[in-house]
Amino acid sequence: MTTETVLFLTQQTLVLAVPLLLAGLGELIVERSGSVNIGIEGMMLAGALAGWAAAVACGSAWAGAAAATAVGVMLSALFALVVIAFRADQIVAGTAVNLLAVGLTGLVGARLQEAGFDRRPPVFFERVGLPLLDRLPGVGPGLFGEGGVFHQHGLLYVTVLGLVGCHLYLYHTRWGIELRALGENPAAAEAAGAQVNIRRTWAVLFGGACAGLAGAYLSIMYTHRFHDNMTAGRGFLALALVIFGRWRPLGLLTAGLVFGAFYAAANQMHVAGWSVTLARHWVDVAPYLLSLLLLALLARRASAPAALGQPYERPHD
Amino acid sequence: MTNLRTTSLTLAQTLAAMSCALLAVIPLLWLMGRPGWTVVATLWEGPFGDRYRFCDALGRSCPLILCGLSVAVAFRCRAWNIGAEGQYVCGAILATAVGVHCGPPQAGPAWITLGVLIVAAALGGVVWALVCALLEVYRRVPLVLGTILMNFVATGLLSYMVYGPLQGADRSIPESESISPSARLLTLVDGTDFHLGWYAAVLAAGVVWFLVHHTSAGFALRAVGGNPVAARFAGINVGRVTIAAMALSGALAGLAGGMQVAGVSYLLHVQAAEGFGYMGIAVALLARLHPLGVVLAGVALAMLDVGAMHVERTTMLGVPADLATAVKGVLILAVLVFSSAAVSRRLNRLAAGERA
Repeated sequence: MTTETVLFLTQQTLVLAVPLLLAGLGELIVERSGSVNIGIEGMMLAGALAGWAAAVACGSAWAGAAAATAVGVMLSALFALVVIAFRADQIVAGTAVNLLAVGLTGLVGARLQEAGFDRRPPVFFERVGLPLLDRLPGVGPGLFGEGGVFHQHGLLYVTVLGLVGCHLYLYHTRWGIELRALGENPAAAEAAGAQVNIRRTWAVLFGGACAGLAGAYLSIMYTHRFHDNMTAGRGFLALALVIFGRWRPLGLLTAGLVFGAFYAAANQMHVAGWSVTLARHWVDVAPYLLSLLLLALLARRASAPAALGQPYERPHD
Repeated sequence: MTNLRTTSLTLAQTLAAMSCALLAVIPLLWLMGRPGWTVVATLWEGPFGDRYRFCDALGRSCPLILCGLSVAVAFRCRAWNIGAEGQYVCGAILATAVGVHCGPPQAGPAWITLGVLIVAAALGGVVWALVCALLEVYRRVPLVLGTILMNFVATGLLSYMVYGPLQGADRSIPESESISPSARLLTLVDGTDFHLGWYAAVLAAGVVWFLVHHTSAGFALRAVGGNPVAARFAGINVGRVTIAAMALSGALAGLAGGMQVAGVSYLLHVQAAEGFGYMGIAVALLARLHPLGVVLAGVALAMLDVGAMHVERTTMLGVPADLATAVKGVLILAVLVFSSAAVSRRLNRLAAGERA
């Protein structure tokens, strides 16, 4: 492999890790607060459609990002209503959200196509280099300057900062410690003064926003258009990544980069001619096989938040 | 008396949820600039406007009932099997392999081929489900995630098969050869999808009902579903019950795939994963996990599907069949809300008050 290939693969790894990391970041907060939202797959899908449509309509990627976030929040509000207010089962409700999103995006997508929405969004998020670092002598311009490996979409840096911020929040602030308490022992958190169900609702809404944004990144930045079921299980992989990262933000970052690299390698194999052989079908499912394998090896050692998936009923006083 | 009241309340809750789900799409259709009422009327006309479409709906309910049973059995013991889709696909693949390669038997009755096909389909589903069950019990891989990931693997396996080992003589299309005529299920009404497998699905519902509600194994299953900790203290091997339930669940989903091949499509094509497995979750939930209710719910949702396809074909309406998927999503959420403890308690009080 030449240096160029290595640099290209690194660059692609970062590009492909963003949606996984972003959705994973949201889900990590959701799960730390004690809920499981498998509906993030559907929220990503809805975000992908809304983001792409808004970006085409307004001619601005940021409008797309805003629309996708809003759609993610709306779907997660529906999810929160059912699982937190009515204490319904979270797995079933999440599945329902996924079905709803597939159906809605199919309906709305067809309607948009009829209205002539079949274009690439005219504007993308701009790529930004890292200031100061690109002036490093020697490697600076090559890595961090125009066209370099780390000359990436702003959303990558937002995501990485978000993960670092999430780490500081969870382990070094009072609110973060309280959030973890919601997922470990909600009754104790409530006794200590935190309103469990309200805080859990906020967490679910945050998770939905992240998933919507992740979807918009896929449709605006990666495929440049929307097609049915385009998330192809990335939301579910984000759920697995949270487990690989042992419910820790920095662990999630590592796991996300590994999977980003995996996707980049798979794409490279397609480019290198695998796409005409039968093996391409195995390359396509390799991320799922890899996560099953990793889950089989690692899931035993990871300890989930103790109250994960259990609805909380406030005691009557 | 109480029993009758509970049953009628459950029925009322389910009907309320169904009406909510149907009504919820009307404003959405208006937003899209579509005639909401006309679409709903066309939806109704699908299964009820034409005898052939009605029979098609019955045929379509066969995989829905079987997948619904599959999900109901698993959910009864809190094994969150979201993988009926993958198990269905695996059943369909094995059934096709048998149907294509095993011609009519040299000796003995012709239905032996069909019998082997059915067994192979069930086995395919069992294998796919057992992988996830064993991973959950012995490696603590959450069943939800394991089964979802295995769905994607199954889809990959399917496309590998129809482009590779199982592809028919016409190499330009991703399809298998047709299965041999002796491996096919009898079509009951010519020109429709209504085939003998429907009766088999109803029979399966009866068998599952008996197993779950009238045997000691079924009691263990419901005990684990009710409270796994209490079940363990009562001496029930929770892991073993989970594995058994998943095996049965996988077998039912695999059967669904096999019967669809033997009764409707007669071959395997790349789109064979039509989402029946995911729809099974809606069916099971609508039936409140009761095996006999699954038959009713399966027929109801099959009619919704046929209605939505009729809407799609009525091109001037400009509404694709995804309508049915959206309705099912809302339907599950509505069932969850209407059957939640908070709403049930209130409804119970209301019903009791009326009688007092």
